[in-house]
Amino acid sequence: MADGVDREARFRRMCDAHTAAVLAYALRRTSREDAADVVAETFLVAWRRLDDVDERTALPWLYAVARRVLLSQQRAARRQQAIAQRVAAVLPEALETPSGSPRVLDALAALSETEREVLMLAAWEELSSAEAARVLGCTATAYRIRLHRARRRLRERLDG
Amino acid sequence: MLNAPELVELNRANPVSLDEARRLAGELGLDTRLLAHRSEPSKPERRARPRTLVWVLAAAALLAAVVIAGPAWGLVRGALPFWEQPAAPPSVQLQFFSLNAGAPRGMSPHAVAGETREVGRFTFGGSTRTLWVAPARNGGFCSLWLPAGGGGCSTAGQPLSTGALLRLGMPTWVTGDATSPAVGDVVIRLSDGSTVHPRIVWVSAPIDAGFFAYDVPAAQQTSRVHVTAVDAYDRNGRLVAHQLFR
Repeated sequence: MADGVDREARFRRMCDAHTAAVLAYALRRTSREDAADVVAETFLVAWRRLDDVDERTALPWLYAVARRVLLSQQRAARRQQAIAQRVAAVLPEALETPSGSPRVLDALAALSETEREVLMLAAWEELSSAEAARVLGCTATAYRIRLHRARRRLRERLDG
Repeated sequence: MLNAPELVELNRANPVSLDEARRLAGELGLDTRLLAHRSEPSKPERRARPRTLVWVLAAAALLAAVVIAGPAWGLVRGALPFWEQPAAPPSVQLQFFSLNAGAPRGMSPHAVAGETREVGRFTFGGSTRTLWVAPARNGGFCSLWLPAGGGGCSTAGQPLSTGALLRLGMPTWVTGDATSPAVGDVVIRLSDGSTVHPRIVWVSAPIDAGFFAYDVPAAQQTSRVHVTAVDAYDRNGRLVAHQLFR
């Protein structure tokens, strides 16, 4: 019983600390309705795998789960759509109706999904290289290399 | 790393700030305060016992309401006031979230997981299960019998919804919900012509439905005697829904 109470308390702490950040992560990448589902699914996974989560590094762990949920959701969406609609579906709604600068968001949208993710983790989630690497499941060194390349590609788009 | 000019520019174009996400989390029913709701499943909060005078006043008010609003079906049947039932712990709320997340695109029932309530405990299939119910934004509701008793979502206007665990094609238990006021009674029919009236727990608005669970006795799980259907009748005895098993 004490374990159960402690588990719930830990889970509540995680919800309190990170729900908004995970929702923001999802909203930056998909529609509002889908973002709510991403958050729900992410925290469902978190509840089931709570024993695997270190509270100190919970946020990158949650981002990693949310990323997998999003990719799975986007794969399912793509399967359901006609080929002509696929390209548009890959672009998150958040990028299609930006409140930020259209120019930089247009440039971002023109990059590959991997490049976008690398850049967004740095610029929007403001993660360190080690944290972003944890989200992407690579080493910090590999992440820094990807970020360098993605920045260059973004600069080319902005200047071009 | 945000010293890089591209990243600074991208950071300024961030379409969703953390503050905006906090606001939207509340709007979408993902408020962490709801997720981290207070009650534990084994220790539902008990309200303080009202003083005698309050009891008398409450009884008088209830009597007046019944007299004045006689046709108000929920009151006559003693519907459980939904909002006064114990709130669900986060683990249960997440299971309701998963009903939304697991639904096909565009088919989410929009269960308001943060407002899930415990509306009863039923014993069937050898276990006592808690019935959890959450309102849905589409006007219906979702229900789960936990642990491992199934559940689902009903839309407004759907008079009867049932579930059953079948063994050799015969129900070993039957669960279901019937909407109020469309349904006044539920009858479980057996192959030998006999019937059973299951105990129904009626729940007030915004759910406006009754829930039942029938633990089928072994004697009613034979090839000669077994559950064949569930019927729902309105208050005038007219059949409004008929669901067959097998």
